[in-house]
Amino acid sequence: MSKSIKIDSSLWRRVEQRAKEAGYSSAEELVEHAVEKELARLEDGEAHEEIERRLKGLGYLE
Amino acid sequence: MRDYVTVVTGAPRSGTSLMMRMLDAGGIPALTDGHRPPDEHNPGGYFEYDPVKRLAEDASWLEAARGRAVKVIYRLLAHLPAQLDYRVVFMERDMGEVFESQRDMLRARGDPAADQRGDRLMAALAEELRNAREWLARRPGVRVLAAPYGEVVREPAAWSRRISDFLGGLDEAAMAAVVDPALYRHR
Repeated sequence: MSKSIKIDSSLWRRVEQRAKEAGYSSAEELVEHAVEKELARLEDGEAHEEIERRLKGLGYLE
Repeated sequence: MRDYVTVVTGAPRSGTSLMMRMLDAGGIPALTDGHRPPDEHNPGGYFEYDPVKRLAEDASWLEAARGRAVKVIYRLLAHLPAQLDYRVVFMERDMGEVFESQRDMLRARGDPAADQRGDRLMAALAEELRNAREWLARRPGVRVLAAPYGEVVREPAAWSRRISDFLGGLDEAAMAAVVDPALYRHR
């Protein structure tokens, strides 16, 4: 299932330009790649914070 | 007299307490304050030293740890002062076993972290441990021996010999004698 989102037109022009230069098959592909990368970064940070909570819970960190 | 500090590290529930016990039996006195008494999760004792938790703020006590063994959680290794030499026994254990054992201990303590989802955290923990190993490998004055918990329990005599060689000679029979396979409960 796909969803439509609104994006500022000047930002979209930049996306189209960079997607072409970087060899993406479409601007949409670049956006998907960028969103996935950012989500992974955020989720990774959360995981390390959860590990810290775990280590504190086990009494190994203050 | 060993002029280096022997560090036992790894993830919590990866066999660090067992290794501390083996080293203590083998002739390297454990630096411990006994604050956390033995319990059903660690009947042989935890062999912890509370100032380790504040290593980032104060590492002055480590000078007196030369010739002794101290348990340091992998996350705090980066705070070991550079002016000392270290022999590090890095405990390794199957990540699923580690998580299961941690979960039981967290549950017993009533800690909500017991309900954290495992898959993503196991990958993140494995990454943190890998980074810690790589950091140790680059650090001058540090020698590392990786000790897989399962193998140490299965072959205590062989591993006592290996650890003894790494640490310049220990009472291998005494080390092997403290390994109780019945305590390998999450496998």
